[in-house]
Amino acid sequence: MVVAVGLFAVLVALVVSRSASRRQSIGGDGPARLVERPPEAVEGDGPTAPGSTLDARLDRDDRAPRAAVRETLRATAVRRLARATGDEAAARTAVADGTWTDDTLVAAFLGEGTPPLSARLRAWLDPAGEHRRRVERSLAAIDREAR
Amino acid sequence: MRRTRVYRWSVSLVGTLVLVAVGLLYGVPQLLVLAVVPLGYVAYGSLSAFPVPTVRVERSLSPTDPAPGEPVTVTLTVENTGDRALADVRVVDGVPESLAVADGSPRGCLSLPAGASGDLQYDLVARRGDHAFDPARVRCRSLSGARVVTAEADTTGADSLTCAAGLASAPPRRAVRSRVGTVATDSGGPGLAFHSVREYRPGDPVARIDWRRFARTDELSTVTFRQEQAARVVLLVDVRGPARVAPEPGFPTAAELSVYAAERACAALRTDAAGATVTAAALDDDGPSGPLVEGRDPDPAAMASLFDDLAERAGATGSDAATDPDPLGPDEPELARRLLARLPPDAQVLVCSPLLEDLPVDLVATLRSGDVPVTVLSPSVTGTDTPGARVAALHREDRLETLRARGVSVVDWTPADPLSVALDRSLSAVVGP
Repeated sequence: MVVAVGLFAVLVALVVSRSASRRQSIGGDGPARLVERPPEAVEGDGPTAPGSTLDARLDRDDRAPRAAVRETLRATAVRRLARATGDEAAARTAVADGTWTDDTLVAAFLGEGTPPLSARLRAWLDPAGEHRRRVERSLAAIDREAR
Repeated sequence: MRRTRVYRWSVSLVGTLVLVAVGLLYGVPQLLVLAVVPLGYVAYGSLSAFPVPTVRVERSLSPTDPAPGEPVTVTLTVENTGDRALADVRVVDGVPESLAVADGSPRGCLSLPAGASGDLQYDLVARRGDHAFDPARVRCRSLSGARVVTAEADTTGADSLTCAAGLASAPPRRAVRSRVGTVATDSGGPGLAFHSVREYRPGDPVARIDWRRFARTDELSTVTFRQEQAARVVLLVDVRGPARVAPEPGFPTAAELSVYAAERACAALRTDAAGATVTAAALDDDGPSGPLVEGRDPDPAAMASLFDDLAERAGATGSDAATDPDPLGPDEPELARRLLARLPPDAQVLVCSPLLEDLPVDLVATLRSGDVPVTVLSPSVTGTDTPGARVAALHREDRLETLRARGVSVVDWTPADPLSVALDRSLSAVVGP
């Protein structure tokens, strides 16, 4: 019994000494600085990336920025076609008619046609995802053009 | 140095207390004996000592004199100089604030026996200027994990990354030329290529008299050659807002790369024995600026300070004109008119521009229509990661093709490749092979 009481006393002493020395730390600004500013990061906002405006528009889930992205892509396609043929009016017509590419989705997206049923279904279910998909497809189609 | 205790054995303490309490309450000695097990853990945690962070860190850079945009590998060698093993050493290097980590991580976790050492590697992207490293920080834990010591390590080796424009290493070009210059003109005189035969005038060198003709017709005539002259090069550096963009934070902007390319071109043309005279001008937001016609051969120190000034301006934050053209930007015809007015006669222009919008293309076209020979050196900063970057890249490709179709020699420089190759091609276009 005496042993048990002694043991208990030791424990209590341990707890008391622990709470006395709680959060014992000495000096230095510690790791807080590394958490606030990781070593991998760069000071400030950094420079603008080329094409960041379009990326920002693509991230916004709204009608107006989507129309702007579409307009930029249309201009890119016209420019690429005009570079190959040298005729900007013809290039503009080709993009509007969708005769410049085999990809029916891209032809409709950048032109005035109606996209395929599956694409319209996707656009109804997931408008943002479908828009992004159309942008990617258009870029691939423009890239293939006049290589 | 900062010491912290971590109370990770608190569960054992609770266990001990519960066992003792229940054992005393019901008078069960077995429970008291059982309490010895969690008590052992509590004692282990409480009695463990603070480790001594006897760690020395040595930092080395490779290459030591990088060009802007070039990746630099940083190697940290962490050595345990004490005589006790360090079970858990965490190291974080003090990466300069202005530089970005491109590959790897500046953090590491090592177990170091006494006298042993471990390595840690990561890549930085060099930018112009001096960038000081902070000392590496280490955190050592005792084997129990209950004692933590955080300290700044004794860091030796490279303590800063210096990225100058690398003027010392101009691209190797033929060192000695026996000619006055390399640019052939349409007027006759001394030179190499045959130009015309004309009537002898008193004072013409005897060596150039056509003696065969004299023997045949008894008339003195003089052979003239195509006169050659030294190239007079104007470096036009694009540091306008649309050029001050970079694919990722911490990377040099396109304008910084253009300044770097121009600086190297300047050095190469100066060391070249062709004797080209070089001046430089900036294409800034408010039009062309810089010493365009101040003397035939401006002072090297003045040129160096001009480039330093340009580099500083080129590092400022720009705007994305690749997918969002600014309708209020400077007017191209006005800019071209002012530039043409300031260009010295018989000048050749080397334009350093990332070609992210149409203005430089129109400007080059105007210069061409004014019979000014133009070469374009274009650093490529567009990526292929995001749709925006791809649109910017597509537009830039179109611009390069447009310029080529107009007979302008265009050199496309990817910053990951050495500049000397691109520079040699552009300089060949400017002053001849």
